[in-house]
Amino acid sequence: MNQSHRRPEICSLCALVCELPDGSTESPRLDGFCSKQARLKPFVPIRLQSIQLQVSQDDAALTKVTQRIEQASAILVSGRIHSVESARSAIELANRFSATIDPWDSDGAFDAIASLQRVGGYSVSLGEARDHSDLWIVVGDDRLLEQTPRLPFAMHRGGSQRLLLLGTWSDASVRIWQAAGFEVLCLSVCVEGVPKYLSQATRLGQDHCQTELGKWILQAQYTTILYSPWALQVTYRDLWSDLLSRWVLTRNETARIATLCWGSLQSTFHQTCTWLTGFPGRIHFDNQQAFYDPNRFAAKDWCRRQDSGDQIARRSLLLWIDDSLDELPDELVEQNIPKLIIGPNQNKLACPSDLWLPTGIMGVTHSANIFRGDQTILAKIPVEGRGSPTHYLSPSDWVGRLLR
Amino acid sequence: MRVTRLKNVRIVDGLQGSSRPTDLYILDKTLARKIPADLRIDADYDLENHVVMAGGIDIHTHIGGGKVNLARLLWPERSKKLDDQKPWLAPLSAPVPGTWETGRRYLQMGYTTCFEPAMLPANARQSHIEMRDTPWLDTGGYVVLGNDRMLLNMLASRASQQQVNDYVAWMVVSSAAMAIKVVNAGGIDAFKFNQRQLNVDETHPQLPVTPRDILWSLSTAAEELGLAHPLHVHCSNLGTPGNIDSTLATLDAVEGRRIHLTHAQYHCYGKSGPHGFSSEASKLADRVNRSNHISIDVGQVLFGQTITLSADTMHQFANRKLASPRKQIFQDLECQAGCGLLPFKYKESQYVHGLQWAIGLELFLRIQDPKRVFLTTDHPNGGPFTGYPHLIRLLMDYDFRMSIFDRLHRDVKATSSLPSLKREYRLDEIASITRLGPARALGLQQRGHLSPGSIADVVVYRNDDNAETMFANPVMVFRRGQLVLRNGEILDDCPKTVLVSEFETRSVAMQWGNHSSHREQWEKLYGYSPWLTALTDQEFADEGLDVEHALWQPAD
Repeated sequence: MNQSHRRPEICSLCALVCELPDGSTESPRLDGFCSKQARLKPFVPIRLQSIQLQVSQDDAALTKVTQRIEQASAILVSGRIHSVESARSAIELANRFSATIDPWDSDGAFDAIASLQRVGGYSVSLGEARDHSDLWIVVGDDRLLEQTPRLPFAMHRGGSQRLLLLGTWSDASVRIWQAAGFEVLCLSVCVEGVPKYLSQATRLGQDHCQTELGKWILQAQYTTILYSPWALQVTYRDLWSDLLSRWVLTRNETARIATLCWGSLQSTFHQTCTWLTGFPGRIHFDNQQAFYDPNRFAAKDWCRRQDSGDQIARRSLLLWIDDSLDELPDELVEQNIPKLIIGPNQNKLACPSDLWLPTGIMGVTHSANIFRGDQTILAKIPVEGRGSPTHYLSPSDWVGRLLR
Repeated sequence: MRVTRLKNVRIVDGLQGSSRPTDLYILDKTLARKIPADLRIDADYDLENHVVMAGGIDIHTHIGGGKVNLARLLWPERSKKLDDQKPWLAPLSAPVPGTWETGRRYLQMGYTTCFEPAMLPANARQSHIEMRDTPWLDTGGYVVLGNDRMLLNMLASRASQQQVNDYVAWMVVSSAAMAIKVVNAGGIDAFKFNQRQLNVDETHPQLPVTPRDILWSLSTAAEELGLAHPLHVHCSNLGTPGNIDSTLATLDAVEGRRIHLTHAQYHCYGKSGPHGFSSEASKLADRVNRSNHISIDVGQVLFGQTITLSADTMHQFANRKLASPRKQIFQDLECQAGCGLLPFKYKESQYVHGLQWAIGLELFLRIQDPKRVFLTTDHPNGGPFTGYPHLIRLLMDYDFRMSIFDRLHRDVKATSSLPSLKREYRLDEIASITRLGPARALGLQQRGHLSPGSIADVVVYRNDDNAETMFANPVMVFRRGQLVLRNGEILDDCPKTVLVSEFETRSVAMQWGNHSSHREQWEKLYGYSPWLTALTDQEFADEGLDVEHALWQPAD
């Protein structure tokens, strides 16, 4: 294969996996990064330097970690797992030690999955919607743009495209959507009722439709409804998704419309776990078999259960695998469960007995495969020519050593 | 050099006679019939009353990629093992299991090479990574073209065939593909514009292009490039009564170029008979028998619960009310294709399902050359791949076949011609439809047979009057000379290989993505550069995979 081609630099720090503009290839990868996490950028070199110092002690650390794992009566593997490589390792680790596994903050994803498993749905990928959709309906609030600021620009193909914003959007956000090139109609509505509004707005057909919302939908050739489960202020996200999906499926009998459920970086874990085990997460391994129970094996519930008594907590272990730059969640720091952290951040360790195996950053110091938020494209983020990654172990390197 | 001798075995590979017992040698990773006298034998197995075949090759099985993973997600329920005494006959834990179970169950039947037939270019990396995580199997994939807007725009603007060839070459290489597959040519894209049917000579709703144009152009590209496998075609009007007309029109559209018709069972229906649904298998079989350039895989229906999944959103959506249980997933994907998934239960008591079962068998039994009809269930669409031993018994045992036929809907029994087909497959014919034929159709010169020098993927079966028991439970499986399975127990892991198509201009095919006008068109359509989704050999090396290049050669 001829390798003399121009491969793009790809940002790995949000679910858009954007290609960085030409010319940025000589500058640090994080220069092209634009989301709210960018403020962590100045700390990255310091952090990596400290990692370099710690790695020399890895043999002693490994012995300690192995002992701790062997002594634990219950283990949860969790964290912020954003790459195929880390996901594979986390699952292998959970399998080997008969642990429960579920990424942190997976409630949004599992509400969407629950709906998919009950009803199904009709969805569209970002590239298809970008090229084909003449009406976008975006449901949610400003958090969508905080997490993925370039999303409006990735959605707009140029030319005239209509966009309905439903939910709670600030003027600044509306201006961003407009700057991307959309003709925007913003309706401040309670997101809870959106499936019902959409259904009612289109019930009477084009000739009798009274609302602007209904007219826009009925005039459109192909409508895309974009939302993100983690940015939905509704009581029961799964039931909300059920209603929306049912309406979309029915509407497709005569027209064309689809949803675009925008996932977080953690989608990569759910995809990888699904192909390896047949389940998207929230599984418990016993005797090399995976048992799936989305209600029983949620990471946060597991921690709450283990934290209910001092003795139980001390005997359990949280194996935290982190591909992100974020600190450990506050609610976790407050809990008594011993923790083993495999990630780039030392974090605010709760107990003196907590352990940290420092790593580089997937997609920055180590090559990584990461899914785009629509889970259609799996981007390979290589790190050739970016300094030797051998100074820092990746989470999968550590897991490999642990398992050996 | 490690030498293994399989003594007193009966060699059955569809090439050589299969009469008296002989010795077969494995020299490291390849096969030999004789060895120098001074060579020490490291492992010696006396296998009297055993049959040796090459590792099985599944030419069409959905084992990796976006829609396969969605199917796993859609079906979280797990079945229990039905028979602890015969675990190899246990059902899959789910219609589409995880990768580890998939690899294990294929190996336990003696299959060593499998092909994912519907890789979207945008999703090719995921397909390959999933297949990489499917142990014990060498794998490859076919890239789905024919609904991609780049190609449709090229055809609409009357681009030259050379331009089409260059684009196809890029798609094949950048997706690390073995072949091109077309699914309902133009129909998936037409459905995105709310058109519900597209016949072979009907024009796309937005572009002056017909499915016939697409089929002609892609089959020409496959032939002129010299791809290892011919155009792999899922015809228009899947599952629709009367679709035999569009199937024959599809075969006409390629004007004598090589073509592989996939899951043909779903494409040879008439609309006569008591329920407006009838078999036209004889028409298709007759065409195949008369045309050396056509091969098919059957897509046999097996009774039970499964999930149907297809890139053919148009027809999957049309069938959505048949979903059992009532849930379904559809996607429109990346200006390239789509997918639709429906849980589905094939019932013996249901007229259409019973007739589909009979039509598949008719095709197997009416097509005379077993090197041009291949055994598939289009896993999981017609049923799980673990049903292959059962299917082999159906082909080898008339009485067994009729014992099931007798349980079908009375109108199937009244109208099907299956009872008159007394043919029973011989072992060498089974070897052809599961090994030799697929290998030849895919340009895998060193696989699918047991000739000296070929790859030592070898399966040993104990002779048994019950073909289902025999083929469900191989005694030994060797992968590249390494014994990896014995009496159902897996002994070891083994290296894996990705199979891709070789062709003359392969080394320069990737230059297409550097051409500024191509990049501009691509970026305008997709919003990112062609290189975002393109795969490189280095990625496979990083994943610990070898890459093998398949090369088409005309049959003797």
